[in-house]
Amino acid sequence: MDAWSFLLDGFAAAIRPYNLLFALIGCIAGTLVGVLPGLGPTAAIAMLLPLTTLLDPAPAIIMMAAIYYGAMYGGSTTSILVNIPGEASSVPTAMEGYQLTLQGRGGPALGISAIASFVAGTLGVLGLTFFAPTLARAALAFGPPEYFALTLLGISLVISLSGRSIGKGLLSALLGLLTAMIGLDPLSGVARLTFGSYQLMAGIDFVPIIMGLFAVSEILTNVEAKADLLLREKKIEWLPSWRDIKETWGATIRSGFLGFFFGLIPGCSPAVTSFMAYDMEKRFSKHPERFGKGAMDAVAAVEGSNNATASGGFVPLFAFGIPSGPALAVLLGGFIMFGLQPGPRLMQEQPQLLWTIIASMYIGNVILLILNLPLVGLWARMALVPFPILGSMITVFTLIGAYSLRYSFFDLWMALLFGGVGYLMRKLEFPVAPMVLAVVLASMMETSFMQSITMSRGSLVIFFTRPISAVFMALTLLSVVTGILLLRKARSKNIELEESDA
Amino acid sequence: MVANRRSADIASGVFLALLGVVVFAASTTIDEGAGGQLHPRTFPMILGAMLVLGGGALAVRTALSRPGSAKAVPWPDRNGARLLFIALAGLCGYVLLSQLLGFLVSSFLFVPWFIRTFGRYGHFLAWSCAVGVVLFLYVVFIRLLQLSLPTGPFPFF
Repeated sequence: MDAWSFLLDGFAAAIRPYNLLFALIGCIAGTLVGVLPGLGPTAAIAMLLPLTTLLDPAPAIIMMAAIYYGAMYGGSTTSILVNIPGEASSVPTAMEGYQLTLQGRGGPALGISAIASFVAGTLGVLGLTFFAPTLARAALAFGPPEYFALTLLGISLVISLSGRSIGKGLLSALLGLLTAMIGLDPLSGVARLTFGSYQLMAGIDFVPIIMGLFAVSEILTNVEAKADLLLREKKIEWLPSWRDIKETWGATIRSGFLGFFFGLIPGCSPAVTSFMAYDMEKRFSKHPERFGKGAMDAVAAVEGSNNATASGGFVPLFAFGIPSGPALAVLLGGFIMFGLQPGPRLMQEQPQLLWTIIASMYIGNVILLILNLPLVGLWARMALVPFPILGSMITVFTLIGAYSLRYSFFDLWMALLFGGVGYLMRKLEFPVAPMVLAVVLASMMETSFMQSITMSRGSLVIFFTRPISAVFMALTLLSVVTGILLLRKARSKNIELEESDA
Repeated sequence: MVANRRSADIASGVFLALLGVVVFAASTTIDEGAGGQLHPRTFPMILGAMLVLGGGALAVRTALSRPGSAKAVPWPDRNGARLLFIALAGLCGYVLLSQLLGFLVSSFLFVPWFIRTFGRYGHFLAWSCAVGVVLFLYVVFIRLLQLSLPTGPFPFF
């Protein structure tokens, strides 16, 4: 049987009312955990895992998978409306989307986000349907040197995220790398920069950092300004226009491909690809000067790449049983709980189950679009709530979100501390995004570098002798050079590539 | 002292350079791990040194540049600073109270305090919002998502 026949069989099973019901429950739960700051799909799947023992494997896994990709849809809502990115992957969305909300265009931004998520997510599922085994083999060619080169490429995006001052952007990235160094050394387990604090030994999670840098500092800025409403514009748009859709179409497709291909690489999370998609779109855009001030194509690119990466992550999981991130690792636990081991054998022995899950992803994407689009106007009205009321709620949900990650009050204090840091960074015009990017990449960067050096017995040549690694190194160089040239060109045209207020 | 962008850049450059010195010094005390090509202190030490260089470069370059008409840093006015201080104290108080009384009670107290302190709204609206937030927390976070939030002295929650 070919992929088409398997897929048709999968659809026949996926549209059974029982399976559809659990796809719907998963989509709703995913959207909810995506909207609530701090609560990610990993925690949601882990919490629901024991409950799924009451179900058959197909509806249980359909529901857990739907929570995962549903959370990607929901993650943009608070980023766009109130500048709270619940996950690192939503940081670039917050940078652009919140600016659009302040201009009265929160509704169109949410709509474009839902449409881009749907289109790119479906592109990703198409890739999963037709190319899974072939692409998964390519993903397995990634070793520590390739991962290091990839993270270096990620770090090179700092130039693009730095706005007008590369120097301040680099310093911001250094602060991020330094923050990520606090805790136990990933390889030897030795405590570093903990100053005797046992709480710092567990490191500082990036969620309280993001919550602080964005949400808490936003609250402080609005309090100080005696803001009554977040909106700067009186004219408010509720839904995206055809022009918006037309203008963001290219960004959606490009980010879909980028997100899917990088999603194939185990460990390459949506957080990494969202920054890559943002940078790529800034280079492709006809209006790079809009970036940082509310670029709709950036919102489409980031949200599209998130969802395509989520779909791409299923390829190594289904083909080899390798989870590409924590949420998929919990999902793998779900498979194992039902006595199933994803991989080549499962593809041969239980094709019906796998294809039912894949078919349910197409349906899930449609459900999410239908769920999210009508809610756009409703969510967008959130910006009309006076700041004193909205701010109190943002504080409560943000801090509880930061707490729920590790059930630690220490994380709440960290969120407040980084709120102060974020406030000062705004005032002193240090861009925040490079710091977040560095925090996200630091651990993978250091671990893969150490492993590579051990593999090569101390030689750095290993990064240039392996083809994939060498290509990434060349791309890093290209990214740095073109980033600087782009900045110079923008300066000469007197275009301010300013970072957003965030 | 840091009223305009120029002096702010010099001050932040000096601060980051000093932070780099602290990190570099702290890195020298990191113990050696088991095996491996690189010492666990390598990366923190390099980052500390880079921070010293980067922060120093920012401070020196700004100090050497022409003063000109430097842009003012948008610091808050006296009333803004007062509100900022109250907000910071309120946030710290909320976290402390959550540890003592749990999230439901502390949120019930924090929400109306915030609304009435930073806005001109009546008691009815403020306390209605508090009830709404607490109900949402209870139904969604505790019942639906089964999060074990601290309940303080009220274990029946």
